[in-house]
Amino acid sequence: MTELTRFESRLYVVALLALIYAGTWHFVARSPAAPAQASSVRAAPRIELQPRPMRRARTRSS
Amino acid sequence: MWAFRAMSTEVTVSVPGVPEPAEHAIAATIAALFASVEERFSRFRAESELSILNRATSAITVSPEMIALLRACRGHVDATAGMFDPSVGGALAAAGYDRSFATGVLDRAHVTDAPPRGCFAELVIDEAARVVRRPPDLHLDFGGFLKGRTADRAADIAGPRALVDAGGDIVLRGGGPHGDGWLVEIEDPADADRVITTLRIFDRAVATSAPNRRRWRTGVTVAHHLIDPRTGLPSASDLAQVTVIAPTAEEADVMAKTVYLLGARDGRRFVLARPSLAAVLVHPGGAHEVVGEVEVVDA
Repeated sequence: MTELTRFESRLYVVALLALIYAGTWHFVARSPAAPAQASSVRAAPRIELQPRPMRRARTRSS
Repeated sequence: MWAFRAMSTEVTVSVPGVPEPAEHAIAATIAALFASVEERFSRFRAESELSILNRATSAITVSPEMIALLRACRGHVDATAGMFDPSVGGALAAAGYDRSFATGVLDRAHVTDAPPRGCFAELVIDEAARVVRRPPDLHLDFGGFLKGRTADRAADIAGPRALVDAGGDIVLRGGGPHGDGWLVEIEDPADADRVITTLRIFDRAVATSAPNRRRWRTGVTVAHHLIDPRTGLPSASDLAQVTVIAPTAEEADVMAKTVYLLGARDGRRFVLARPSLAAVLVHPGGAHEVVGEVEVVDA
């Protein structure tokens, strides 16, 4: 293997590792379960997406 | 917008302009905060630090967080001349509120216990040593004050443009999704499907006190959770509901309770004497009045 080929193979390995890292980060960051795992939730309640308007809220006694 | 249950109510979190996964991550962190605070300071959890303090028969050492809560309580007790008093835990239990609230759970044939007397000032707090001595009949209940305080902490997590609504104790940071304010509807205490009025809010918090939800039957009468520290009994206020707008949800919750207990005349004076507050007083029958500076958008 020539010096140039060795350089290319190293470059390939580095690029592959970068792709794996980026891919892992992509899925961890976007997985709905990830934040709960990352924030050491104790008996965390279920969190649900609410399709309500974001601008308006309603106050009441509770 | 994300929702979860905590402190016997629904909590919602909205962070406009943030991608959905990131908003979910913020909501998860806030849910963990609420769970942690509830675990530590609920009077209905036998192992909570508050329950341990409420059972202590001698002076005990408490956490820095408990000291911070007690210090905040002392400030509110002083600011309201004792109308806010977290030592009503014994009176609440005597009135029948002796377990976590759910509709019908607290109903009973009669009340057997007379309300214990005592006030927050009787609690001996050594802040430097973190030691608290509790008179035997004095039981603390942080209630809505803690819910509002936790909503404020949650809003700090959510950022400068966010909404955190803890069962009606609402922190509204920034100017809303479009920059022209958040809209806050005030529920009719006589009809949950009806809105009494709508306010436009920038960077403030609101809270509402009324006896219409946390109430239960004691024989032929109905009790509720708003204890008047002057009598140790559920309040006989001449108001049906009070909403207060304040810089923080903690203050809004404390002041809404205070104004409700003071009643219409003294409550109105109380709000007008404090420029940082505004209020909407709802009278029995549904008439309402706005006290102080707040923008009404549907008048």
